[in-house]
Amino acid sequence: MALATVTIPVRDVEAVKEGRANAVEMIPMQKMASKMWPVLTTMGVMIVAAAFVVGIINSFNVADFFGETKAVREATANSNIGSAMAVKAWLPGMKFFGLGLMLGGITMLLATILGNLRMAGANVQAALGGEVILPRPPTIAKIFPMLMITGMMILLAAMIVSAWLGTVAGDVWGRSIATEINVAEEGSALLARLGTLNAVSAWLAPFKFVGMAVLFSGIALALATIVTVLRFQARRLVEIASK
Amino acid sequence: MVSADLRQRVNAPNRLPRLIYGVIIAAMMIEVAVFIIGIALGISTGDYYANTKAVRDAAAERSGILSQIGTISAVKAWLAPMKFFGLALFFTSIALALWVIIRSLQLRGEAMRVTIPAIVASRKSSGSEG
Repeated sequence: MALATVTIPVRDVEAVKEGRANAVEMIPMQKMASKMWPVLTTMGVMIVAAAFVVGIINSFNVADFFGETKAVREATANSNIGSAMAVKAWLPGMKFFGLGLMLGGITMLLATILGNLRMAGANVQAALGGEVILPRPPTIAKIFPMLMITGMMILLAAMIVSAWLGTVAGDVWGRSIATEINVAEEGSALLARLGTLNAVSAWLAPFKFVGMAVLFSGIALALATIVTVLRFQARRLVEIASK
Repeated sequence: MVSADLRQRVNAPNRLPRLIYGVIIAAMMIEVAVFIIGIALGISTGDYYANTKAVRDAAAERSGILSQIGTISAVKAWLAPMKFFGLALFFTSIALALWVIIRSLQLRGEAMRVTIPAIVASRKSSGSEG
């Protein structure tokens, strides 16, 4: 299927030739992406690094808990293991959200590359004295920013659910294993919370992967858009030379 | 000025992006399937933990509870690798796209090498005629 194109009038060709002006500017989405990608990437790295630090601190609580004999650690309520299990429940959600921000940053970086290809392609055409013809954004170029936003929303939702699950885990595991958890009666609130904890954990991990999958789809489609633009530019050069 | 071969190559339809879309769709289907199985696993896990520990621990051979925990554990064992297989397909699609970008850059480079000197020469000759 032929790519739809648009002809752009250039006001000052001499300024383009001398590098004082560009034949076209980036579209608003690309301009925004060029400013946002360092922000998202930095935030993502900071969140993942913070998760690493929290993981290290949490390991002390776990080590303290397992420093006791099995009989001792199961007999009494232990807030150390309660908070350790709570962190274990919410930390993966936070890590994945950090990774999601980084993947969002990469998607925005690819949009910035597309913006630069647009400007450079138009400048070359204007400088060569040809009409400035640019491809209209193909469908995949319209889809990939939406996929990026959807993926990040999924990971944000997963992080919120993880935070709530952390409170449930803290409540369950902060109790005595031997005298409360293990003897929880059928239909009791504690047994229901234990069930919720295990049930939600079972679907939350795949849910996070769906978010990652949506983000990766966006990246792959952004790359496919770059392919489309590069091939259009090669074709356009041959067209100009043939006239 | 521009060889017929180059003209044909820049105008030829590129089928590789279709392969990329195919891989993306396959990967997405795997991840959605994993999520649906995860929901089913969550329901089954919820059911299992509705029983007291005493009932769970005393489950007799071939009983429903024992088979339930067997299924939960077995599904968990292959579900994690399946998630990563889906991700691996996404990485494959990205690698394919990057490979196609290299080929497209090579093609554009060749087009620049052939066309720009020709365009500049034609501008010069038209300028000297004028």
